[in-house]
Amino acid sequence: MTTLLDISEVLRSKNADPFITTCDIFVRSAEDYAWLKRSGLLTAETVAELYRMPFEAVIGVFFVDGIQAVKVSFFKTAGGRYIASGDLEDVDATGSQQHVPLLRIEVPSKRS
Amino acid sequence: MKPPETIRVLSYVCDGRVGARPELAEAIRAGIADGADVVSAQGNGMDAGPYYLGAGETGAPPTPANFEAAVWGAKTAGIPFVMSLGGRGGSDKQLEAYLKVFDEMARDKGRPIRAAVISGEVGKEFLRGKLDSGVAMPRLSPTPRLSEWLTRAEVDEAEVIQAQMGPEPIMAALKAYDEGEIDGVLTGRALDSGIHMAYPLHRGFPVATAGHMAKIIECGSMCCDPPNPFSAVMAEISRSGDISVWPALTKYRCTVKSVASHAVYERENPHEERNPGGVLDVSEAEYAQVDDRSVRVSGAAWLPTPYAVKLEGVRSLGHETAVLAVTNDPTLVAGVDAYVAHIVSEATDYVVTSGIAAAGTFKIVVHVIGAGVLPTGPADARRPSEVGLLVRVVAPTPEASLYIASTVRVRLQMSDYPGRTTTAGNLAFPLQKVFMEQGETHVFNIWHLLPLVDPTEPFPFNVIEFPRPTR
Repeated sequence: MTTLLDISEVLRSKNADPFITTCDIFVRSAEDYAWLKRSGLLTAETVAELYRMPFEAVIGVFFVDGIQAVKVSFFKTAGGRYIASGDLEDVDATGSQQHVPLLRIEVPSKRS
Repeated sequence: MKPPETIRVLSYVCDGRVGARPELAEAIRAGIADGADVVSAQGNGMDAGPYYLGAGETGAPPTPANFEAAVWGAKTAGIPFVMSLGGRGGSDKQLEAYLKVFDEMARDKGRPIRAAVISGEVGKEFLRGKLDSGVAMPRLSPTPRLSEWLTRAEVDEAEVIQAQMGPEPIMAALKAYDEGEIDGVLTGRALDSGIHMAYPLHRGFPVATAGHMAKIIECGSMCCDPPNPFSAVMAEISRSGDISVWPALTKYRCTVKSVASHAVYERENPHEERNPGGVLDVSEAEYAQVDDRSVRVSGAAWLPTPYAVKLEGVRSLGHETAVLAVTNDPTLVAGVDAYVAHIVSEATDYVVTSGIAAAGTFKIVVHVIGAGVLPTGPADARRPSEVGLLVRVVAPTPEASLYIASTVRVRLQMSDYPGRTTTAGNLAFPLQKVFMEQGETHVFNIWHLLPLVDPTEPFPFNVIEFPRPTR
């Protein structure tokens, strides 16, 4: 089984501010980046479903062609409620461990 | 004085959290020898959460090694330094912990340091005055976690309120540098990129170029390959809008990828970023490898917007006590979520009915570590074999907090659950001091925009000579 992790060289997350998490995926090859962009695998809808968060909480999925990168940004939530870094409900103050659902996304072994 | 046609900005991170490896001094000396016109450094940030700002603590303490090479090097070379200080925050208390290091450096060397010091705190009276005169302060991010508009009650409740000053208050202080009154500028909370924009803007360079340059080098050598915050990086900008970036030390490189990648770091939109007075649009930016280790950048745009700075405020939730426990009993692990919910509900009722604390004045939260406190995506079929319970209790007094944590602990340890065999205790406690007193726990309550007609209004500077007289 091939996953997004296998075609990425960086897959990370961090706070953009205390209320927003942002994930960066740097795709290793130009071919895989082009494939990912046109595949429709990463959309606001799929992100909301993957993270089990309200659709409105997803800020956007941004493709950055020059550096073969995809950025996925969303508001911090816990149990469907909007939270901030440092709230009692928050366990990831810097937002550095919010990327894992993305790396598990399955991609087809044939991607041309 | 005729302005020069190019300016070189040497950037590093002076935050005590990052420390100061021997390499840092070497990098700063190399950058100054390479013709830096200013040394600028960021030394505060809010990415670690609200606690330290509320408590007035800096996190890792700053040391002279964070500053010596830059301050003495800049003084000797006849160039200014511009630094934001405070570590995990930028309030006056946190700034003071850093200024003490300047006292120490100047005293040890027997050589004074003169600096314009700018507080990043914004007074409650100042903000109440603004609210009373009808200034509307919208939340910066449209999350329902924040009030849509800043209220007087939120100002009253806040423990500390600071603002990210833009480059303008620093530019005002740099006039004192031109007049020979100071060696550099030291600020409390400030916009990271504003620290690096201030000197080029002061010399009349275009704002789009200064803004994009600052964005790239705001975290020092994080834009280098490999990215790291431990060294220094140089940026040269021209009046025609070109930016060149290279590492201060030859062991690193700047590549198109390392430089362009930093543009997406810690921001939700990779194409544009809101700043006080304008949006930096990098969607048309171009990056080119000049030689083995330097990159040329151009093409950013600056779209002016009404001037506003970001306010950051925290309020106290109460006194916190935390408990950590672990179990790998298969029956408890299998039903842990229901067990924890039951205990929290029972303990809450007990605290209220026994009069230890009134309903609504305290809170008990238990994180079941190992069973999905972090997002995992598609649910795993396999349950974990072991989970940790992190109990967080906040209450109005330290005594109530400890008492409530104690009642939660003993209930978790000794209560019954379906299929239980562990009548001598349900949990393992890894810490000898079972009740971890966390002090006052703070949460963000202000993350709003303060519109300003004069960007320097809440940020006057004071000229201070270090070492300051001891009393």
